[in-house]
Amino acid sequence: MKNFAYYTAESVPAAARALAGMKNAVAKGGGTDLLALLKDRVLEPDEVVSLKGAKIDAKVAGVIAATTTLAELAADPWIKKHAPAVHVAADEAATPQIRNVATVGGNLCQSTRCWYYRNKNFACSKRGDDACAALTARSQHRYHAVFPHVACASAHASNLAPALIAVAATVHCVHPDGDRALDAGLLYQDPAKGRVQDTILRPGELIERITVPDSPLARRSTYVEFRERESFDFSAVSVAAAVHIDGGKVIDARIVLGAVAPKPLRATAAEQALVGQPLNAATIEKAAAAAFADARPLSDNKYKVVIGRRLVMRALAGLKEMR
Amino acid sequence: MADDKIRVSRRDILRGAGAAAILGTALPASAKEAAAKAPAGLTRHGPGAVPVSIGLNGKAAKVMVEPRVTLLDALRDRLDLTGAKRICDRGACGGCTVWVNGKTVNSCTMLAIDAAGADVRTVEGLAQNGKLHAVQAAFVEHDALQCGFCTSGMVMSCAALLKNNPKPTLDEIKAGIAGNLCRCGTYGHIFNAVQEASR
Ligand SMILES: Cc1cc2nc3c(=O)[nH]c(=O)nc-3n(C[C@H](O)[C@H](O)[C@H](O)COP(=O)(O)OP(=O)(O)OC[C@H]3O[C@@H](n4cnc5c(N)ncnc54)[C@H](O)[C@@H]3O)c2cc1C
Ligand code: SF4
Ligand code: FES
Ligand code: FES
Repeated sequence: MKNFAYYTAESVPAAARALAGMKNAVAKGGGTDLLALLKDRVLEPDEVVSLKGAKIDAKVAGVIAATTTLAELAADPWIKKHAPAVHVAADEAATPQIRNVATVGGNLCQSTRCWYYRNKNFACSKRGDDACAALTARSQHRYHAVFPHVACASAHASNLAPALIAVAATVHCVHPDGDRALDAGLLYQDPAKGRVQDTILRPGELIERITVPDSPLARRSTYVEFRERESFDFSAVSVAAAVHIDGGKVIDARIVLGAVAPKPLRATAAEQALVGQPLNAATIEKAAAAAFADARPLSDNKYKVVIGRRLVMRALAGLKEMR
Repeated sequence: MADDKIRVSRRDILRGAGAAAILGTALPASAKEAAAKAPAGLTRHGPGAVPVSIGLNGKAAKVMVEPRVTLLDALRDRLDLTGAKRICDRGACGGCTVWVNGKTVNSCTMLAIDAAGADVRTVEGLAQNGKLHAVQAAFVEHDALQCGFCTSGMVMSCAALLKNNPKPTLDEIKAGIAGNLCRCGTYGHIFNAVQEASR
């Protein structure tokens, strides 16, 4: 690991101001993803600004400080009751040790697990190369995207991102040029050559808080995932879903797919298949088919489409039973 | 990291030999860095070695480390506590598990400087007054190890579990140690040992 100057910050705005003025700096939450990228020299910053210890005012129910650990989030009774998808996504992520250190902000901004991205001996368009090692004939891409973008077939790794998008959470970002509040679904962008970051955050821009609304949609939400091992593994496919049912009909729905594209993907066709309809076996099946209708899996990850459809059905069936 | 250790001691030797003049600086690196102005609201540490004070197994400890040094490397290479093991160095096995402020963490995946001011407990600090912790005694009793490489991390996770949940069910035991891998597959004996220790 290249050495760096390390900074602690008293607040997130102070950290954002400092980061915006530094040339080769990176923010750090718990460091559980960052340290791996530093050890592998995927990132070689001169300065690391730690947000651990930055004071954030987040005492109101439903307001999550970006530095909240996944363990703290999983133990939050308000979240468990008002946004079950977020509770489950936090509770099932990684391992107890990682959840004790990893932060919500870091989870949302973590890098893809694409092993070619993380090993500089391989070509990676995200890192600025002309080719993508995951898209060659002999590549190992069973965990990669099934909705590939032209430049990059990576899969987005975060559990929390699909869950927070499904419950229509708002992400509050701070930057010296102006703060902004975004729907969690707008935090991510398609990959581009030479851009390692998956979020739309500007250099120096940081997430300070996330707010989860107290809404019928968020209360009727769930998160389901498939992974090869019950612990340690990242999800191979995940589905976060939320519905607002009134008068026997779905009046609002959010279905978000994780680990199938370079960013968490809202399955808008599946959502539209539900709105105005009762939630029943037939509409659930239609929504599941619609969610993956545009999938174009690679040779080794067709299983994600089969399992992903099942997960959409399982998630929606769970929501049907939920009050 | 062995190479970090060598690098630091070499620098110290250079400094001792009056190498400051050769390096074109009259100040030791750390003093010069501290004088570099940090942006408003930030405090700067390093990049040279900085003092990190922690509570270690109940006693105050201080170690000089560069900001990049992990808690695991500080424990093993500077503080002579080799109980926590360096296996994957990526948070993916649990062999390096220690407690920071009473919570289990992968010490390989945390910077030592992030533990500044915290209470760190390693497997060496689990036995009290020469008496093994109930989990350690139960591991011996139930032959809950084979090669033993995962054991110190396992023991720290099991002891943390019982601290928070003195009477765990089998499923709770499995969830509690879900961050520790055993390549020898001694899980069954470990579950028995934890159940015994919880009685
Ligand atoms: C063995 C293992 C298994 C895992 N399994 C899962 C899993 O199943 N599901 C899952 O979701 N994750 C999983 N993870 C990933 C883990 O959840 C992330 O590493 C963690 O959440 C990152 O949080 P952090 O605070 O440690 O971030 P850091 O490592 O500190 O930072 C990660 C990135 O986020 C940026 N960042 C941090 N905070 C902010 C902020 N407030 N604003 C803007 N940018 C910020 C940093 O600059 C950096 O680029 C796993 C990790 C490991 C090691
Ligand atoms: S899939 Fe994306 S991250 Fe992986 S090698 Fe290709 S361009 Fe890089
Ligand atoms: S060595 Fe730290 S988790 Fe494997
Ligand atoms: S006893 Fe050998 S790895 Fe667990």
